Amino acid sequence: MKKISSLILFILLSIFSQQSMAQQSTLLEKVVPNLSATEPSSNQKLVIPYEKWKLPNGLTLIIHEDHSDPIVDVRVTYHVGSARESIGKSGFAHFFEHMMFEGSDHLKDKEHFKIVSKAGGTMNGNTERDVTNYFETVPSNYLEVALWLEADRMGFLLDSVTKAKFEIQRETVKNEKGQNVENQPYALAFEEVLNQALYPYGHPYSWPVIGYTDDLNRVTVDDLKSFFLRWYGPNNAVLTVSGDVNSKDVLAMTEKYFGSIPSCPEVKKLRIPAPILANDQYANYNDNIYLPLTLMVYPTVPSYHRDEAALDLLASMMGEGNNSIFYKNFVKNEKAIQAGINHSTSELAGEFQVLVFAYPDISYADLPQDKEEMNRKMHEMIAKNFEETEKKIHETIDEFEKTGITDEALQRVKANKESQIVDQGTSVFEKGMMLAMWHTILGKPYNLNDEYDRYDKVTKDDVVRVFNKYIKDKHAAIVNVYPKNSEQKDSVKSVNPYANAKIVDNPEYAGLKYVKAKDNFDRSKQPVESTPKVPVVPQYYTHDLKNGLKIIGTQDSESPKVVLLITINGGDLVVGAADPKKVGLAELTASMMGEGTQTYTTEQLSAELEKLGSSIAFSGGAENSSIVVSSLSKNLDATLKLLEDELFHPRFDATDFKRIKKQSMESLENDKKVAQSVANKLYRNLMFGNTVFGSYTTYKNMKKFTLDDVKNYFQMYYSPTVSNLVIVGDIKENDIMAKLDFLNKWPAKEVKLPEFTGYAPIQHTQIYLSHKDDAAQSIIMIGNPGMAYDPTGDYFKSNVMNYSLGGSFSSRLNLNLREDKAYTYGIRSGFGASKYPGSFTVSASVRRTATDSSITEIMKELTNFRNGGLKEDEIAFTRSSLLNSEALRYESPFQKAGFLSRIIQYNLPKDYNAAQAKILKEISKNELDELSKKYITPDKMVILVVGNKYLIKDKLEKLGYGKVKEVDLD
Amino acid sequence: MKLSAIKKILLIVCLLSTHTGYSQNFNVQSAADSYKNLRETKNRLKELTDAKKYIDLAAANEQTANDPKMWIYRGKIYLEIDQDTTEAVKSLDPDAIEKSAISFINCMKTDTKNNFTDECKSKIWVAGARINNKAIAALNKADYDKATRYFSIALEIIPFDKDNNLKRNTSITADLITYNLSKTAIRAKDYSKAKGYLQKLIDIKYNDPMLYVNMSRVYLEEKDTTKALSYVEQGRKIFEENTSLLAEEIKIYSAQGRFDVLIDKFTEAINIDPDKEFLYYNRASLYQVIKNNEKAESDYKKAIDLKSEYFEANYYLGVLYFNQGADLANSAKNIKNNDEFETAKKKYDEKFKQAEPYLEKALDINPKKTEEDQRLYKANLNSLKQLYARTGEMDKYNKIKGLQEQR
Repeated sequence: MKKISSLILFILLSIFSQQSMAQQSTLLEKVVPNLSATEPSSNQKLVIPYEKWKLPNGLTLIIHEDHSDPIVDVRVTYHVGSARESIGKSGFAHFFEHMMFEGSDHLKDKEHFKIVSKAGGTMNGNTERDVTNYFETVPSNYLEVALWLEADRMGFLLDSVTKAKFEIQRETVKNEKGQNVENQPYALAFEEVLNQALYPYGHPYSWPVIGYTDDLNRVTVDDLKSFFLRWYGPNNAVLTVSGDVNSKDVLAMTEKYFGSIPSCPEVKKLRIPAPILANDQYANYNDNIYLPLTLMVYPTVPSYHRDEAALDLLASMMGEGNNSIFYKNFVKNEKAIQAGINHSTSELAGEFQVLVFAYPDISYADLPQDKEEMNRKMHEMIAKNFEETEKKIHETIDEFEKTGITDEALQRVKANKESQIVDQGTSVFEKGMMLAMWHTILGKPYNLNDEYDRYDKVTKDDVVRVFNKYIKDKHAAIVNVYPKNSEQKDSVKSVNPYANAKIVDNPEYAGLKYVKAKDNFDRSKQPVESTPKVPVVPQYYTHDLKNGLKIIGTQDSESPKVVLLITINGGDLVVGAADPKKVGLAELTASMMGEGTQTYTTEQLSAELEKLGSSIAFSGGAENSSIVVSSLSKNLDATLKLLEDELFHPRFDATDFKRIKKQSMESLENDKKVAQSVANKLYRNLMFGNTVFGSYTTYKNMKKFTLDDVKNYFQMYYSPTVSNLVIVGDIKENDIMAKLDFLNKWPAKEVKLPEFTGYAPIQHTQIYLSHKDDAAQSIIMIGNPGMAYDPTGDYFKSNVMNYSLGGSFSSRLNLNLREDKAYTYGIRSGFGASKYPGSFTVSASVRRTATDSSITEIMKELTNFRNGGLKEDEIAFTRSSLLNSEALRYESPFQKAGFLSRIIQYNLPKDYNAAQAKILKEISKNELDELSKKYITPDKMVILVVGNKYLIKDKLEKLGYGKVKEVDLD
Repeated sequence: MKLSAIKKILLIVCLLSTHTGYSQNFNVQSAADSYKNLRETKNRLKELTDAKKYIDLAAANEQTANDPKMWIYRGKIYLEIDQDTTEAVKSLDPDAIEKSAISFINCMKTDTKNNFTDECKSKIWVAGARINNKAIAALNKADYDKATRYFSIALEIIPFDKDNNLKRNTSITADLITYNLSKTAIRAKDYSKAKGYLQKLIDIKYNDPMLYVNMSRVYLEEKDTTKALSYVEQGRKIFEENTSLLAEEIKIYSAQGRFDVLIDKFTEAINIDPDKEFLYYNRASLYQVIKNNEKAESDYKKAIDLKSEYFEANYYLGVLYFNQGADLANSAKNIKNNDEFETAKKKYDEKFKQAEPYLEKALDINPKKTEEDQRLYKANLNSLKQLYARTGEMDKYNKIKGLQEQR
């Protein structure tokens, strides 16, 4: 392949003198596609064109114009993350992320959310070790509004950071930690325990991004303000604007809104050497888990280090996919349910992570009766298991060295990487994110073609060299996560190793002053959005094959890829409607469909796909099975050949079946430790009873499935008569249809989809409780049965009605339980449905001590909403938000595929979107109020709580819903 | 003496001897009983005082001195004393951990029938972890004898920790302890021992660049620069990006005046990390020493590009231009032809003008914290005064004069 760098005209303008910088913005870089290039179009698409400007106050502005959809992504990336924090002051950067949404001088509390939501946009922030990002994707006519919003929180934030808001957010952050770290299996291993073992004392990567709870309890408003003044200036930020914009306008608006914001003190690059381990560093802890995890992490190199690409490819070669040596020695050999390697890097260090989720391998027959003795013995067995796993990891690494690296293996991982690189550039959000990160972390001109080049240049020698340098005979941080036994009453808690450390005042924060920008315009006036552009609804073609397969497709030339989505209706429904014990067979069959063909073994098939950088993924669910095919356009023919082989000639090997079944069974056991998974299964069951939709796969039922069940399922139900195919990609209709000719050979079989008669009605509201050991958070799911999908009927309208109740960040439920009471990190409600009736559901993970209060508040909100009806401003907000959001719906290939899939799956008219828009514009308050009365029934609801029964049950019984019924998974 | 009398004496001796043996076993048993009472007692001080008394008696007696039962109880009793949280109990023996650890080692050595081995294995690593931690504390308090003794005992425990508990629960290994012994020996200035430990670690490829830095420093202390350099070079091959090793290497070459080698080294370092302004500054200084003004100028500028507030780089770049101007002015003194002189004057004026912004910037940003800062500040004032006199900028000249008078 010709070097891609030749395809672009790259202009690097040297930085002007300081004198000129002091007066005007300076163009630093400009990358434009070379339109005269003659190479195939796919190569040009790897280059993201952009302009890079520097404002006199130090703000970097990157503009990427992409006019394919009328949307724009605006993001401010501050070069500050948890790595800038210090001992005893962890979690500040993340805490600030929360405060940045709480209003500023010209924006009232929560107004940022309201404005972006009303514009139909999406927004969020995220904090990492090295950076903090604040971003919104909005219809492009809201560009100026988005810039005004971001500028206000950069330059005018601190007076709005009040003690009251600060306290609410302190609790919200703690809830977030409870929900996403302490109540999540294994999360502590990755967030805290590993980092404490891998990084030396005081290294900023040794503490978690979210912070330690005692540090969060200690932080004051003034601490946080100082942190902001030190790091959140324009000179430590990059503003990236990507989408349907004009660069000149963006520059002018940026100068207007950001130009007068004063710089923060000079920010120097952090210079901390990557850790070197002279010894293996062990860290063990007990977690609410089922499968023991060994996490062995070798320290490597920072992001964009010259060895990073080779290490990435080494990790893929050793531990990714069915051809990797870790798969062979652990998964194939049935020692582990999952084993793999991941290489991740940050600004200061890299981590080569070996993960093995081993089967527990406990010989229950050998356990003594005495509980204490039994637990001791179990711990001993698992410790032995860990030792064996560790030994096997070392043997596997040795074996990898002896086996050597083949050209074919290198080609496979490179192809896979190429495919990933192409996928990275499919939305303005992703492109904006990459441009910002390249600038912030790498600090020099860089583009997707450079990313492609650095992997393409890696040789076998490079991979061997990095293996020898970073892995072979090197030491690692080794975390062993033990399953916590029922006798251990202590909660899974984060432990701050710096709890007793002396906290020293950092001179960097001395003498900081808040200086506000002075402007010659009125910032308090929100800019008026310009005229909206019409969303680009994908144009599509359809075909019906003689065997009954329905096809819908659209050409999408934004990236050199093709995505196919085949939906085979039926799923568990066709077997489970008559016998709910068969639920799970669709998924098991789908898993076996991916395990080789009559020509290729599992490993050979994976190798063929990897060589192409393609994927073919089968899955099965309650109502249908699906196949998702993803391929680079240039490799489509070869990929379709493999699809044909898989779809028509599955291998169905008995050994593979034994392994897959074991994995499925153990996964079900593992799911019992995941609170949200337990809640979802129980909620469905309570809502829909022992019907096919209320049933879940059990260990016992899974154990009974045979390979013949799978073969029969395939023979009877994988049929084009109940299937449809969606095509989105860089290919013309005629070309793809010719390539898909083989689908005409798919034999038609008559499949009768069972009628579904509905569920038993819920007679009265009842609280159900499922116990989870020492849960710091409770998961609450509340709801009642709903209706089937209807694009213009009650289903659509009810979700419009629900929007201000629990369908957006600014909804009644979220503002009350998160922003006012700080009970939860977030709460949502909505109607879910398919061709079959679904339910109305409110769901949240709440602080354990607020479980009963949360239910009270939720039920109060539901009742008030139902009885009091919607307010006019809520209706206006919903209307504006949902109408505007259409611009964001068709951007990525998967969004386009989703849109087409809905059309073909529900046989929708071409203009159903227009019909929805008409409803949105015209629907009355009365109609919405009627819908809430009809479909939200607080007196006939299921209330499910998954939490620590010993601490919450009594309080739940006092809520007035009678005796709490305890429930558990089979 | 009558036979009966002899028999009687023999019987008494025999009885005495049995009684003594019984008495020693009694001490072990009494110690064991007190130890067992710890589970339920509220008076840990009393039980441990008794336990210690009995076990010390047993240990001192040659009949029980090789009894594995005595050793296991001695180990456990002293471990309890060491682990206790009250000062009263702890003060029963400040060196309890040493006695405990040695007792467990002896238990493992003497328990040939494996009566106590399992129990001992479950305790010995705990003692190992604690004595290792106390050794680190002693090292930090500069008590090198104690640190060496404790580390050595910890090292002796390793082979008896058959289940690798020390490694798997505390990450302590023989290598790590040896490394700490080397650190202790260096701090105690026992270079011979230090070299032994360090070489052992180098031989087993212990993965720490400081081994090579430390070995080099030991040889520098012994005035053996060749050896010192050889270890640094050896380390640099393994840890090519390590800045401690790089700094050590620079130190040695500077002392030898080998600026050419150093310039190459800095170039190497810049290739690894092109954003470190101090690397450019240092290389510029070296270029200036070997009179390569062009390259010195370029490196100073690069350092300033990376960090505009770099005081030394601004000052010395100003000095570089100033001196070039001064050299040109001195040479021009002998030119008699007016046109030629004017051409020469234009050149040196240009150089002085080039020096001006850098010297001015240096004056602004001089932190004036160290003696060296003060010295450079003074020199900077002189240079600027001369410069303004030449350029005729009298306002600025008077301002500098005023600053000089303030001092």
